[in-house]
Amino acid sequence: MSILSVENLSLKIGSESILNNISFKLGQGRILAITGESGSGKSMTALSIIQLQPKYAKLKGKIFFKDQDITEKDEFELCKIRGAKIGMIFQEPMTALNPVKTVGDQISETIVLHSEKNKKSADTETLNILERVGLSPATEVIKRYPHELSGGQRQRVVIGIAIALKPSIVIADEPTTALDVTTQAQILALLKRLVKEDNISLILITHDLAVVSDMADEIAIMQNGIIVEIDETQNLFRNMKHPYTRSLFAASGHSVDLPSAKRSADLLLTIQNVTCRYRLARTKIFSKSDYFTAVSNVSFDIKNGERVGLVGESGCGKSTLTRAILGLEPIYEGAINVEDQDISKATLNTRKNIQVVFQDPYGSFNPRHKVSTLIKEPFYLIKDALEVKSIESKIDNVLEDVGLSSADKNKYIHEFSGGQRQRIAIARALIIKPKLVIFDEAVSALDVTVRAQILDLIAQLAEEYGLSYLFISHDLAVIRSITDRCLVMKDGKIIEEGLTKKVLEQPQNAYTKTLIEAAPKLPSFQMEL
Amino acid sequence: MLGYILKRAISLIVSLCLASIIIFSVVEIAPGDPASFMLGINAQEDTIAALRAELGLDQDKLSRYFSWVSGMVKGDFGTSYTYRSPVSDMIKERIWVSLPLALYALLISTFIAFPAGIYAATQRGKAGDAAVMGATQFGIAIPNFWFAMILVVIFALKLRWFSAGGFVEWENGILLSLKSLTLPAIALALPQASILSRVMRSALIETLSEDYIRTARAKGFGKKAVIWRHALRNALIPVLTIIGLQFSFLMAGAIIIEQVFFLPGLGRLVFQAITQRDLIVVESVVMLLVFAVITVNFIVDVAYAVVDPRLRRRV
Repeated sequence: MSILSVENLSLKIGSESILNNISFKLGQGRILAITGESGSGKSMTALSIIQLQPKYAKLKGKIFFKDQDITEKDEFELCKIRGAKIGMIFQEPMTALNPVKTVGDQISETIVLHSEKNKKSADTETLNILERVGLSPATEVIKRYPHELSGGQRQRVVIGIAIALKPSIVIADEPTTALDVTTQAQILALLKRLVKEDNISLILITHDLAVVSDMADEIAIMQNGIIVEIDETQNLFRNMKHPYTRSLFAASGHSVDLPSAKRSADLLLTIQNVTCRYRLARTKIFSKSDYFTAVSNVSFDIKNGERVGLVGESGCGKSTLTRAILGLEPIYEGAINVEDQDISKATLNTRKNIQVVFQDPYGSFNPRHKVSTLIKEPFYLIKDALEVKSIESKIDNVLEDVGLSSADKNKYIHEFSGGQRQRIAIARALIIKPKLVIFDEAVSALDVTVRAQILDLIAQLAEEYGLSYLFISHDLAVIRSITDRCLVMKDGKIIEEGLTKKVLEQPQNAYTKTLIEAAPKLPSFQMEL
Repeated sequence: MLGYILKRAISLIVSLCLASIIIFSVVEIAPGDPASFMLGINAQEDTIAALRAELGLDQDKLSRYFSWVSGMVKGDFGTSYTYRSPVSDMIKERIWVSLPLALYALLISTFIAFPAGIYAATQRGKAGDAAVMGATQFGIAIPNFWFAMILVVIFALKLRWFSAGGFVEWENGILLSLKSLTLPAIALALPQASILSRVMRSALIETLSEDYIRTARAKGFGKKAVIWRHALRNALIPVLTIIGLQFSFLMAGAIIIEQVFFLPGLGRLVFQAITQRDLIVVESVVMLLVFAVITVNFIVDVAYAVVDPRLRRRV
């Protein structure tokens, strides 16, 4: 018997249709994955099941939990179901917990709310829950505030809240998207173990097909508010009836044809024994400040025409290193040279040789400027200003090179999608033909299909512009497809370095090995495309 | 937490020292010699010099500054040039009007603003919200001396519930004193309550859109329980900031209301002292007000840390 049955669910916000007639069933103790790209309606489906959709949304259809239609229940009855019968895990562990309450209180209040227990016995139970989600010593953790825990630990607390009352269903909305690969592997394993132990039915919402493939019993693929395909995991991957499923799968395992590099022996970027450190807040008022060494004695170089990757998890120092290369971060020791010019004393002339593409295509543009103004900005770095006419023709050319049209230059940034914005960011970086481009997690915020397109574009431009770049990413698949050589960073140090293929296939360092093993992989079914 | 408080306390002392230097210098630079002002235009040179010596004005600036500061630490604020009575006595008399008035007004303002702001936030976009927002707009727009006069017309002249002005000394009964402060406190509280309700409303609305509120709702808390258990404490930081600023304003800025209600408060004292070049009184009262403002800020800073555990570790 199915524990949850969604029948012809439609949801509209204003005149926009978010969910369109979706139906599915969830069996007792089963894991159903809902997958699709951003905007496909995955999260709205989850919120509708616990009836926390935005209040101005119009909902049609039925949602049966056991034998009762949730959509007909009033607020009072719903509050008894939420948390007790249906638990919820959200994406962003950094913001999902109340910053002014201890994690213990946040778990035990759920228990007190739904049972007859008093605070004291709820606290005892909370200790058990903390142990179960792998947070020990529980007596220590129970008194902590969220800001005193890491992202992975916070997500364990959120999971603890969701499973506290042994609910029938847990809905996990992108539970590991904000986490590093190794943490992601641990959290997924924990989730899998807990739902098995308590015989909980799990709805796992994620954009990542690889995460889903070895967790889910059943997979639903969503596109534009419609479930285009739903089947048992094995069958789905074997058959892939719907073209969208195929394209999603192809994009996830996308490999790029990176033209072979035209390397020369000229050094473009040299980094010698660079150390960067921050002053930490004092722990006692008259004590000396401690320093945190974010980058520790790092040395490497990039030759003209090389495509180098830098891999590492959050907090490994890759962002600090990036800022140091751009000359935005003071260097404590060592030197960074761009073509024999010290970057810390760099003139405009040197700076024009390095451009950068950032991660967030939404936050990295001034919304009040037209696209033409945005992408001609780097020309300020060139002393002898070009004629207006030639700048205009360069704008046209570069827009066409990145796959947009020259008419786009008169638009504003909000008129573009995330992928298009990232193309504009690349256009801005390339317009003055820099010698080195730094891609700082440049495809991490994009959907898989868009990501595949942008990676293809970078590969194509690498050929056309003869680009050298440093590609920073936490995603091994991206590094594999787009770089010749790669560096692995951990705790501020480069721990492994070599040709990308060699590092990823025969890793020498133990950490590199764990990193590769932790990365979720697509099933290796042979597909006919 | 202790480190945090200690650091705040140090910054409190530093601020007080700087303030005393600035106040002393400003009063020194201000034109007009108190001695010649007190004796009038026809005074003899040597009479003025004698008076200057008596008032201690002939000593050098540095030693006058230090005797002023050390006197204040001991509670001796000097002697008023015009009234020839100890400044500390004058201040003591006035502060028992100004301080209770400020607290009274703040209490009224908070008691109106919290429920109004919370109500408006929960009714966001509905009629209740619009009503509260309209009322607060009105409260901010009305000049408070005019509102004070309206209060007098209605409650003192027509209904005769309160007297139209004056202050009943505390010895005659606390309730009577409070009664005489009620109309001025309401007049002072109205604009403050309006501002505070708006701050409360927007802070709460912002907090209600946070992820952890959604988590709490998913735990099974109802809309009201979420506000009490999770949202309110998080929304409190901006509200505390405004309350701190308002208290400082009410201590020093009540001068117009004091005039309207004939209250012997600090505002009136400063005003009179300035017109009479009674510099020692001006200096002392201003210093006292600065002390009050800085102390309130210190209390607000400590309250931040009580509300938000993330601030406690920052030293």
